[in-house]
Amino acid sequence: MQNEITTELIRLMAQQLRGLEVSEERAAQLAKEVARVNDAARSAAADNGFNDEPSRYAVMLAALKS
Amino acid sequence: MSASDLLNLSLCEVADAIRRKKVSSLEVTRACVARARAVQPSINCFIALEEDDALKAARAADRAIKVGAKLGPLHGVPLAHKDMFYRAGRVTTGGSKILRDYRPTTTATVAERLDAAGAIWLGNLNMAELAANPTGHNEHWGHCRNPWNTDHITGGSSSGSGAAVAARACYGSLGSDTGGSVRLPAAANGVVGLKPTYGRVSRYSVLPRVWSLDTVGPLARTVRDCARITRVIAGADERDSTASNEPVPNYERLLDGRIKGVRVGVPQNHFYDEISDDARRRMDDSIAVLAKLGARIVRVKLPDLEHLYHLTNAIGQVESATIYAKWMRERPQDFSLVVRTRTEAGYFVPAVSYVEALNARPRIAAEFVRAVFDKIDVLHTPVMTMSVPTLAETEPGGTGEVMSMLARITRNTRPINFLGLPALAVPAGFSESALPVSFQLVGRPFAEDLLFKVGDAYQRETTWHTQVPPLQCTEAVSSRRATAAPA
Repeated sequence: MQNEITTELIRLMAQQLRGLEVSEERAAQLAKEVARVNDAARSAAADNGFNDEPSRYAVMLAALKS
Repeated sequence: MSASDLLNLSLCEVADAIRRKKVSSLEVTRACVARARAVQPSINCFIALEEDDALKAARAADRAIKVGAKLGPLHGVPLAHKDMFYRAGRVTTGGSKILRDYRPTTTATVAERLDAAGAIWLGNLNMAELAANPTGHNEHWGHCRNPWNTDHITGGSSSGSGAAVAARACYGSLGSDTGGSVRLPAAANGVVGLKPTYGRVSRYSVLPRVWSLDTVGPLARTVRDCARITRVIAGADERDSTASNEPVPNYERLLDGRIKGVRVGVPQNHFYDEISDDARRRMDDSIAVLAKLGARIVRVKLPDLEHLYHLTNAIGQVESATIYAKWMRERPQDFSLVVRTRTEAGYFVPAVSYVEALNARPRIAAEFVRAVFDKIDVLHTPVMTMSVPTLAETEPGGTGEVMSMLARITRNTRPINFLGLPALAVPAGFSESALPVSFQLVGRPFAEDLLFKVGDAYQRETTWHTQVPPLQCTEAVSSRRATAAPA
């Protein structure tokens, strides 16, 4: 289930964190896009292990070759 | 040999002809320069044609042959590259307005390796602004146009690479692939393109788009040509910590046309969603060719790829927002709508979500490889599921439209970048509208050798790669900067 990210949150983050002005319409589009991305990351993270770390990626690629 | 005959040779054929003194590098380079000038007004594939330097280098290459010098595998062969590979002191625009006068102080490892192999640098090719869109539109340097039909897109972001190679303006080209940017223009222009395994080729001094996803790969007219370029550019690089130490095989030596028993997987999900009838027919035809050669065709159900699309966005949006942060703050008007749109979402993705996506990557790649490549050796899929669209159909009209249009075009390429796997785009015929259709072969990490072997076997049985675009040529005005300065 996708968590809602509000237009207001996007506009506040834009102003307060980045000093950017974002229109209401664009903020609504961004809210949807960020919600999809954020949800996918959270969902994937549910299966991440405590000892996992991003730097394992290169090692994993080498280990997966035939 | 006529100029036209020369230009229709493959990269390996022309390299062999130069080495055997059947033709000089100067003749070949002159033919490419003339062809580049002739096609430029129609397809706008060059940002900078370096005619004087290329002819000088060609003369030097011919002198080296005369004195019996040791010759590299690309000796005297004119290549041109996406305008994003740094050479110290030379302008590298990245297809952008922001970098129109940018002169890096370092030289890309891939540029050094091409030079050491004897290649001639013919010029810098058009590309999507900052390698950030898959259509080939570029409002700063002019849109690159498809040589098969100039109303249609080239695909991107290595738009000029696909167009120039197809139009016979050079024998091969380097592009970059972060979400499909080698494979899409290769497919749309009917040439071969390799997205290598992440880390197979150094990214040192290559314009960054997304550090964790960027790969550098060749486009050329044959699989063998791509194999030769890959061997030259691949391998460890102490200046790029992500460059792999895996040994680089002599890929060409493995190309014997024999693929009997190779298990070719055809996906039952994701890659054929919403495919057009003629693209499906070309896929079926190409699978039949591989089956005739003795490959075992295996239908495979793949793990869900939909969520990989969004995970790729989590990584891509945050990293590109970081890379462009200063310019987004100070010069937002100098970005196109597409780049601004794709970049700004990155500011709102939580840092923890970004790292979660990165952290899930090794596990998801392992799960995918074990689930798929324990059953098959290579995966065969369409690169695009629709006929190559027109420039007008893909012109971004609003920010929301941009994302959905890009999503459709990159649906089959982007998940492969998240997984880090190698993928080879191979021409497989033409759509009803006479535009190229291609399949991609995807393999295990570092299985470029097998992809080349299967792709080469296919090209020995087919002639799609020998077709020449019916481009009307006009002579362009000679100039180093082949197009007008950006607005």
